[in-house]
Amino acid sequence: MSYSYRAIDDESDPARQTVRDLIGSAFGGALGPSYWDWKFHGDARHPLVFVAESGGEVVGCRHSLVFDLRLEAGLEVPVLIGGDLLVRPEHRGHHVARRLAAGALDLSIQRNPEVAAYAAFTWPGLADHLTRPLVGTVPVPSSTRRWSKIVGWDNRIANLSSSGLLDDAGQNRGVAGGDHTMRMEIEGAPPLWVEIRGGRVALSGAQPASHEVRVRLRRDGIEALRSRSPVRILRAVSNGGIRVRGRPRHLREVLGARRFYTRVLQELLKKPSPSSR
Amino acid sequence: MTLSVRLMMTSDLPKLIDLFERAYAGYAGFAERSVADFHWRYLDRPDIGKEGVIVVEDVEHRLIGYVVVGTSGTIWEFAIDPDAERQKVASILIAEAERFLMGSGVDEIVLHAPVDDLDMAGALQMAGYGGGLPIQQYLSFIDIPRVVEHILVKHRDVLPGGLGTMEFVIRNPRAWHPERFSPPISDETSASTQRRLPSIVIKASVEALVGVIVGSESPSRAVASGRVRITPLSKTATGLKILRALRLRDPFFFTAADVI
Repeated sequence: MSYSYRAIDDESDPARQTVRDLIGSAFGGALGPSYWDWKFHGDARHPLVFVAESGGEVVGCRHSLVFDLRLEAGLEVPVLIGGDLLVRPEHRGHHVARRLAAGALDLSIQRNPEVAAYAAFTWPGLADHLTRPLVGTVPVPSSTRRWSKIVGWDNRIANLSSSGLLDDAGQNRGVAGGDHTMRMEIEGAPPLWVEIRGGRVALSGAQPASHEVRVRLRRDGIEALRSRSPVRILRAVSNGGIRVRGRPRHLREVLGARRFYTRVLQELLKKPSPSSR
Repeated sequence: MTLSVRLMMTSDLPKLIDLFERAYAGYAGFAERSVADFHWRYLDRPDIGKEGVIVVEDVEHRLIGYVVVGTSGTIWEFAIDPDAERQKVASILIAEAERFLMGSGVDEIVLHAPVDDLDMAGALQMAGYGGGLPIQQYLSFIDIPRVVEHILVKHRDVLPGGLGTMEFVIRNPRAWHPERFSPPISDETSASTQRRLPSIVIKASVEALVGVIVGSESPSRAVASGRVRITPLSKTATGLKILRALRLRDPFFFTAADVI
């Protein structure tokens, strides 16, 4: 397949609508087309919309903007921020993403010779494979902490309870014979009670009469559980990221049902898609 | 102290910028705020508008805090007067933001705060929030000579005296980087040595140099590992001082709205 790359400068270019659709299908919700319109129209500074085309169709896009970045008090430099790198799934594996990013970067530097820095907010994999070889980016030590609170907890519990996943998990993930009620305290969410009786599982956000086990999970504890690395889990237990309280018999039952609990946790902490809200 | 809460008015804009400047005076890493930027970044943003900007005033009607809330569930930005009762103001802002968002049917509320903002952390923990790592910020420099020059001029106080001419050699320059450059940091001696051979040469890859500047790479470790080479060897101590002078001083913090 052959690809061509270009900037969309003309507001009336029909390819713009294709890019909007592409963004909408990839991100949707709050980050959909209206968000894109805001970012790359109006008063945005030097927006660049760069696309890859094949057979006259837009198959990928890359965007950038220019800001003044504060390097320290009294020292600001114009910075180019790249974002929204998208390639249609059927065109992946042909180096389209790399060429899109390189082409957009070259053009942005040509058009904005005053730019002194390049910044990106992204994941390590993408940075290692794309922005580091291209422009030499390094991860910046951050003093930023991300705080969050789940406020749609009841909906998440209801969705999970009605999904059939609990029955399935109860049958296949070793909860039979381990009767107990657990109070689960997940950092950034209201408490949750999990009741296992005779292999049947019930979740509730309302406090029952009593519970036998109490588990407190900080974010680092959740990450350790997700990683499934025994070393990380042990470290999280020792530094308070995972705290479990209860009688030894019940703790054994919880341990026996750990695959079930990991699955429940995974589902509960998954952000619902906009359409399912 | 009696505090009052209201939605922002257009006339508040310069005060909001001023408050942001004072609240984040010790930080870097974010986009410079101005009235025009605030307008574009927040008021034009599809999930905000004026009703998403909530301000707190003290009894003398001084603006001492604000929060910018999006119906997507993101608290894009907040700022609190460093001289106010910060934790109290933070609790009010969080409660107001939640009240605004509850009616929008959001599932999760997210915001960014500086790691060392203990007042905000206390208020957030009391409100049931949990903290974690944000998305990683990556940085590089397109115009390395200009950035190096600006930093060295600003940090002149820690540069060794009688420096002479220094030269930086980039091992893996991209198309827009020069292979070598000499920042015109002239003291009494360097002015007269401008056209002579450099008295000290610092050779580094783009990544190592950027790493030293942003603080992800320790100068001495970079030199010890060979990622940065200083010649002549007898000037290693001076070279290390130059590299330390290059390091940016303010910690990097970015609001959720800086992640574009």
